[in-house]
Amino acid sequence: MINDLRFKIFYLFIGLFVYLLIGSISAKAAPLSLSIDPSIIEIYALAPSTATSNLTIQNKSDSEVNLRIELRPFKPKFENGELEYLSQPSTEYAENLPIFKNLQILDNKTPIQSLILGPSQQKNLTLNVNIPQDTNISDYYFSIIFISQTTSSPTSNASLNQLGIATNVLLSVGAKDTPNAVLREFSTRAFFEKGPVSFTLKVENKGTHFIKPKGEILIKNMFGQNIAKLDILRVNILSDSARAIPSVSFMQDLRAIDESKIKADLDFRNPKILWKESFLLGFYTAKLTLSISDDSPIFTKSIHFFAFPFQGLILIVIIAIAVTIIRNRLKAYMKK
Amino acid sequence: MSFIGQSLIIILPIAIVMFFKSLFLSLIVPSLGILLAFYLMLSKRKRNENLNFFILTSLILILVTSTGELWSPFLFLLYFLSFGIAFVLDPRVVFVFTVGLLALLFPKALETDLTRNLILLFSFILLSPIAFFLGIAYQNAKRRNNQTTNTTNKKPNKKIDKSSAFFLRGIEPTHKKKPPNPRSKLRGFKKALDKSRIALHSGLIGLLGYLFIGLFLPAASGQTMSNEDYIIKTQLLNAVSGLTESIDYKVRSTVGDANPATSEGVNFKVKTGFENIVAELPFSVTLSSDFVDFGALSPTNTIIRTIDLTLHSLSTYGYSVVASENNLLKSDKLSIPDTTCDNGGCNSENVGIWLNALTYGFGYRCDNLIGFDCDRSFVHSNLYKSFPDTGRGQIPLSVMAGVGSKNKSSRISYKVNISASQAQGIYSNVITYIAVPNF
Repeated sequence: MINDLRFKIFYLFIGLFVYLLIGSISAKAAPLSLSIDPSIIEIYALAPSTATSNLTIQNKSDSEVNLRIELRPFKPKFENGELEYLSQPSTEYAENLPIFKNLQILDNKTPIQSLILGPSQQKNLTLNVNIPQDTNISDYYFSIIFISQTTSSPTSNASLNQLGIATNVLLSVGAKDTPNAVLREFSTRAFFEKGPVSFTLKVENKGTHFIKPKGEILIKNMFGQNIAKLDILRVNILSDSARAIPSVSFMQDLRAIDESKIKADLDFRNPKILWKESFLLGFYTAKLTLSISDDSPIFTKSIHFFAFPFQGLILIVIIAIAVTIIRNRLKAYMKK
Repeated sequence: MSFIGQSLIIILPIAIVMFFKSLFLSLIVPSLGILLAFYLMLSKRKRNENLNFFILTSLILILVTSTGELWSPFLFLLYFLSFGIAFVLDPRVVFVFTVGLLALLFPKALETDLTRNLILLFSFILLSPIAFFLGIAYQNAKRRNNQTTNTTNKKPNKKIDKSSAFFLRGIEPTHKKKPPNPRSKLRGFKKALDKSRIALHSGLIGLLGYLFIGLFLPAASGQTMSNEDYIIKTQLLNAVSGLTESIDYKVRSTVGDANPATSEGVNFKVKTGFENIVAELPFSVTLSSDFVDFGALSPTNTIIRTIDLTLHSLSTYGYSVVASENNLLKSDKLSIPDTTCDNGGCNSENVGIWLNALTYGFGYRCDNLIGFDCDRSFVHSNLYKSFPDTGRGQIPLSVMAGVGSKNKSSRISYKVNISASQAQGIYSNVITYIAVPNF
């Protein structure tokens, strides 16, 4: 029966089908999806000490993923908190940054350099930072990156994609000295026709440790009344760098921005402090009060601006003309 | 009713609102007022006109008082009420109303932005003479119309007080001296038309007044802090994010102006997460495929393949996705170079137009799917650049960056084109994308 031509054809088709099926499985690309928490870890340490912090990594895809753990130092790229990695290859990190020798990622108290996560698996890890007595008093800024590893070798012309996700670590070693920072810019335009009023605030950190200034801007009108208080967002300013500081409301507006309406005054690369008052008239004073750290002196600076609503004035004139014309016509009509 | 009586009808609600203001801060009374207004509108029973005006004035004043007085979104109703008073009651009552309003609203005006508040109060003073004159004109027109339609041509139905006549010197109608022709139906129609025009103009002026003031009404946002000496309006509430956990609990903080999750030990302190802004879910990234197959490459036959990159639950201060290649597309010792685009000027940092089928190499571009986070240099189609090559010491560069609370997605297009001299082989490389939160 097996020699029957019909069965031969049947087996041929079955074989072809299985071949195609296997072929299609091997060629099928799999999506990659990762999540990490928290996004930032700030460590303030005195030598000697051993600091620890928890972090969670999750594979959100439906296939297993092999992750390699890398530590990469970074520096600020722009003045908005974006970063760029330093160019050293990863193998030399430990030579360039000796502190990396004392960093470990622990999985159940076991140091790891890679891990395998099953579909939708989540793993709680511990960052362990051992700071020996002889550690330099300095700041160390680096990312802990989990990068998927590709093991397959392509059978055709191809690009293999790896996906990584990072959490940033700001490690400050040494006693907190008096912060050394300068107010590089606090400015706005001299004249406004209407609001919102945008202020530019840039602070440069010349100290050895990262800082997190806090402060506010109080706006007074020409009668000396406090009419607005703008809270400044507490952002990290790394050592030897400057940062443009936005207001809390600016950041929240930016996060809530409607995709269909890109507002010109909400550029994430150009953080601002926005006073969202639409009607402005007269002379205003904006007083900045800034504290570089909890125990540092407070800086204050006042700037002034003037506002006059020309559009509103034109509207008043138009209304006045309209009223006069109507009244004159009524008069003329009554006299008929 | 006399001028004094009509003035009392207007003054009485103002006085009630002034002395019992605290009662109206709860929204129960205004809600009952709105219900009453609906009842009055729907009820067919005829009521005294003065009683109606008393109720209407009371309702509007309660509504405005209970919703922020000078900051009330219903403030415009007071402008309409001014015109209503001038048209229905003795026009002089509008001045009484304005004085009463100033007395009611002025104390509150001193507490906040004085400039804005004085302008609002001044607008009532500005509008009152307009309402007065239009009211007089309207009532005269109405009276004349009544006289015209009255064939008996006897006494007019209403008289204007002597004091009103003082204001009417310029516009007092002349029909007393010259009675209208009772036969002229056309003229009657014309006058009716004029009357509606006056009403229309009055309405328009009221509307313009409202629009003028409405232009300067700020959006209601944020909170107000006050004590006896000051009131400060801030724009937003602060909140925090951060995760605190133990064996028995896991708490993500989302309130107040406190610190993010903090833990302390001997000689160290650790903070995780950002202050001020809530981050509800962990930062996530998805790549639609771990493999891009170009298939067989043939000279001058451009191949374009795409993958999608999606960011979820963006980091509070924003993020960027940096990308790099480990080396050129390689096959043993042979390689396909990175593209330099049609003008030979593009590289891993600068884009260039790549349209020419005789331009060879490997490059990419980014197109927005959700959001606008692709590098802005890809503003026009056919603009490409090459991936930074870490094998040659280049650093990964940003392909996407932004801030937001919603998902962001982009499509990355890989483009390959080889020359006739390119040797056959299996060319491949590894492209790495790293999603990095801002600090």
